[in-house]
Amino acid sequence: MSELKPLLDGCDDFERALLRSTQRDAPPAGALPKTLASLGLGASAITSATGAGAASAAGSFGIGAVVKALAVGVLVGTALSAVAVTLSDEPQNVVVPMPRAPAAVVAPAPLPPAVAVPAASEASESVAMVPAAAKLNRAPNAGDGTRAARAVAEPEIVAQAPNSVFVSPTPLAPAVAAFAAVSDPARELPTATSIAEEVKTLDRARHALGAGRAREAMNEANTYLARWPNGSLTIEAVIVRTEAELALGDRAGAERDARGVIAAHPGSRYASRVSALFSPPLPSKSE
Amino acid sequence: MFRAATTSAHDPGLALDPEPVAELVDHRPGARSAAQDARLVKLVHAQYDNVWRALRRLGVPEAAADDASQEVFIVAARKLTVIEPERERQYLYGIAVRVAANARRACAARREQFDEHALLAMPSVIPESDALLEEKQARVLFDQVLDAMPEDLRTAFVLFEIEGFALRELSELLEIPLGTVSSRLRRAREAFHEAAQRAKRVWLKTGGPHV
Repeated sequence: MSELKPLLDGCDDFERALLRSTQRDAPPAGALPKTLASLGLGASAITSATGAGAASAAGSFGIGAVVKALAVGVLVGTALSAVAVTLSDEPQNVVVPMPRAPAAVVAPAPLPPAVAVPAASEASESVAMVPAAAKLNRAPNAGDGTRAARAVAEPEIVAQAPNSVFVSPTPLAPAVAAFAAVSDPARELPTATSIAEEVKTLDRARHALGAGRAREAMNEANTYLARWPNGSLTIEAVIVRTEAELALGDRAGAERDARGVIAAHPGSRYASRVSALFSPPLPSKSE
Repeated sequence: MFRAATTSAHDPGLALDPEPVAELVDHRPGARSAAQDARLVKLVHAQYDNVWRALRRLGVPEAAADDASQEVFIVAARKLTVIEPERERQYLYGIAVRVAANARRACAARREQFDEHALLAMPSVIPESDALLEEKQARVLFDQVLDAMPEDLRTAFVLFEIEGFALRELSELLEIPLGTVSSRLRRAREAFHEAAQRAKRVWLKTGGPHV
């Protein structure tokens, strides 16, 4: 029997927004240590979980301001941009990418001269093709969410429909600007089309990983990283690739990627997430 | 075989209890080997968030999700020796489906049914006139949509569309034939689409995008 395609590939923007809303739903800090304790597991297991929780709390604090300030517009704005893409035969739908906030907090790392899409057989070797720190120079302390990462990394979108206009708030609050991704004048701003493609590519990687198809997940993540080395969801793609590498038994590659994430975002929830993939967990702060 | 391993999940003791089911865990020294402890730690770290999230989407209220997650892992800990390493995830979700069913039953009296009136009466869920759907709001809405689906369809939908299980895995996990899984998913998608469109209409009617 042929495998069904995930609904995410074929539903409308509203349904997609609903489906995506669950991806970053996470238990409260402290829940995992409680479970470890109830299982009679050692203090070290609980300590590492508590550390992750604390880091996650710290990460989410910074992102709170970002989410507050940018909540309006991002999710449905993005979803609508996808609609505008998929319904491009409806001329009344217009998607206009807005300029990014000019504040630059982190200098952009130079892009590698060339990035090729790796073949499946060399996927694990491709880790070294783009230094993780260079890829992950966006949204420092961005906490856990792709949503948050998107909030600081994606262009604001004004989507116009026949009877509705979505307007995201501008100018950005200072807190948002402090987290904002670097505005590189030489870099082409992402379009609604490219964002939708980025999201789809990463969704495919995640779905493959969730379904136990690690090789496929790895290929999708590599495709993403090769195509959008400074994409809106780069860090998410690296984390998916880390998980895929672990599933494929490539611990060295996974550790290299994980350490890149940790070096780029020490103490953040991203760092905690990749750290917790290893047993024993990697230190989630740079050494 | 997965079927044999999951039968434990039917234990009556799985019903959600306000008290943690600590008595199910054997804390005696030597009850579990160091290797088993290590395996369990790894399993909890790797799957805790996933299990918690799945329980939420399967209808366990947020207030009960921590205890329900704990229950899933306690059952898994008791049966660790019979869980095949490559089927750990399936096994955990198999338990989670049953724990969630018990939790839903326990909370059934309190759960609000999805309907337009309930939705209209929840201003925290509906964006203000010039606000848009936040992720958290979308999640609340999503849970309401899931609440509107029959239990068997919801379970298949969550495990396939959200958790990424393949059809064959679902067939094993839910102990139903592959054809039934497919037809259940088709009906689940129809139910989801219908409920989502209803929610969308209400959302648009009550503000939705800035007009």
